[in-house]
Amino acid sequence: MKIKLLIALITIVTLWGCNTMMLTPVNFAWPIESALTTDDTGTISENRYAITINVNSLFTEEFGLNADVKEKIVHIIRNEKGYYFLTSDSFKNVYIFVASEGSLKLVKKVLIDEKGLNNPAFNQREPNIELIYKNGDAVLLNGEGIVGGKK
Amino acid sequence: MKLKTFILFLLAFTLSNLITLKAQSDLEVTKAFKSAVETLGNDIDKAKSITEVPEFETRASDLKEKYLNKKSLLDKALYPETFESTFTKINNKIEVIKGKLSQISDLEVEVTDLKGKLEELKEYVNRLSEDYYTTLREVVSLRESNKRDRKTIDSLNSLMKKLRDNSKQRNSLIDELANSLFFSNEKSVESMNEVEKKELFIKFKSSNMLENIKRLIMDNTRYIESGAFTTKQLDEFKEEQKEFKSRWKAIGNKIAQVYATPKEKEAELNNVEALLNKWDNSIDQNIWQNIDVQFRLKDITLESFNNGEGFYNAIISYIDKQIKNTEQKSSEDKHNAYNTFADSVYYKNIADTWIPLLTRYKLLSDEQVENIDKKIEEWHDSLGEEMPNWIYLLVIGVLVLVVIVLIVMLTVKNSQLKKQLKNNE
Repeated sequence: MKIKLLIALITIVTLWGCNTMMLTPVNFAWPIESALTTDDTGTISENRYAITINVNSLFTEEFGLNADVKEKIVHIIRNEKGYYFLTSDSFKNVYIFVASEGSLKLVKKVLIDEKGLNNPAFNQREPNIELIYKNGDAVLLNGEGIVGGKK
Repeated sequence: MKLKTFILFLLAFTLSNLITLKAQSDLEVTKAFKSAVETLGNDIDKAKSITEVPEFETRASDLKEKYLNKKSLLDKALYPETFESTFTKINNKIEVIKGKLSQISDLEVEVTDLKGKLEELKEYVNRLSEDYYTTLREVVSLRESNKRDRKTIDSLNSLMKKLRDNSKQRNSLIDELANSLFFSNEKSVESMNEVEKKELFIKFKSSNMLENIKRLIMDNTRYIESGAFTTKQLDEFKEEQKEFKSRWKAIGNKIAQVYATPKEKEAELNNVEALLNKWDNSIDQNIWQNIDVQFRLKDITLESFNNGEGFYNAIISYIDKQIKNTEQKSSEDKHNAYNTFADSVYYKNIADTWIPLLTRYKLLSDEQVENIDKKIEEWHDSLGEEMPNWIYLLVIGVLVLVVIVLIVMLTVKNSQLKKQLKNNE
């Protein structure tokens, strides 16, 4: 019994020491989306937020291996939780990512329109992100997918 | 029944409108706002008249009102600007342009006034030119009459003064004319476009400015050629010519820019340049003639000269000849020749009056002046010692003594002869 108590005490002390500091709350939200044009290599850059992303994989996912990635407009916005929402004209889906070490990790691929999006645009509607397309239709998204709006 | 149908229709219409109420992209809103601000800013920059300013103020306030409900979005989206700072900038821009345009508006009024003044000046200059010729004709007729009485001389002097005053007046009027045309515009000639330059060229041509400049230079030249002047007057003319030349340089540059064809431009400008040189040369000739007269008055004939180098050579050559001739002349003549040249002419009338003028206007170098002094000294040295005065006195004294002795001797002899004759009787 004493040994069990000792082990439990050691475990508690060890875990207490390993506790990582957290800063909270953090609001990662961008006030408006960025509509960025890809360069020859399929890379987009947002100077205001100092982020550069290669979006080749997105186009491959949407249009297959032969997808043209040059001079395509990619819409990107970040919500308050830090999720990145990306889409482009004629995409069927919105891609939701989280920041990872040197990459963006896909957390959700949200199907919006089988026929492909027409003039998509994101708006910051905290706590959600509003996606408008088809010249005015809108859905609300968060890190897990669609949370409201007309689809 | 009809009312129910109407209400149903109204409900259906409202619902359909609600359903079709489109969402709008924040990015598009931001872009539209930025574009509207940019267009307004550009329009403000392009404004040409103060009357446009109220329209900008209205547009700025309408724009602010239109986007007021998007203020929180724009505050973030316009970072580092904000909604308010954007309008502060626009309003500042409007204020700046307002100040600028009201200044231009003032200048426009001034330009209109100047146009009237330009005409007045043109007329005045023409009238003065006519007067000048009338006076000049009077001067010529008086000179030709060969009268030398006090009245004629006085009226000649007063006419010459009148000519001088007329010339000075025209000079300053041409200055005003040039200022009105080239230096009082809201825009400098350099920054004018082709149309504006053409307009200025027409104004310039119709003002007869170039003709007046040429006429004035020619009249000044004629005036100088018409008589002999004092050192002070010639100094004044030289200064006036120098100033005129530098003013012409500034005006000429402006005029050159309004000429469309380089050939015409060069011909006109070179013509003025040649006349200016002639004017300057006429003053120089007057100076050289005056200097020559100083020598001639004392019967000294120098080789003819009409420039600094010629004058220098004439002096040196004259002195050289005098030094060589010393052996053929008596000591007195040699000294007299030297004294006349050096003391009665050169150091009396030339060195202190004309030489400073010659060196000031680079007609003679300091080195040449020094060499002339050295040459005169060399001449002096070549004369040798003049016989001292006491020798003359001594000779005269001895002669007087001899005469006295002779008189005494003759008197004594005479008295002795008289005594002898008395004794013989």
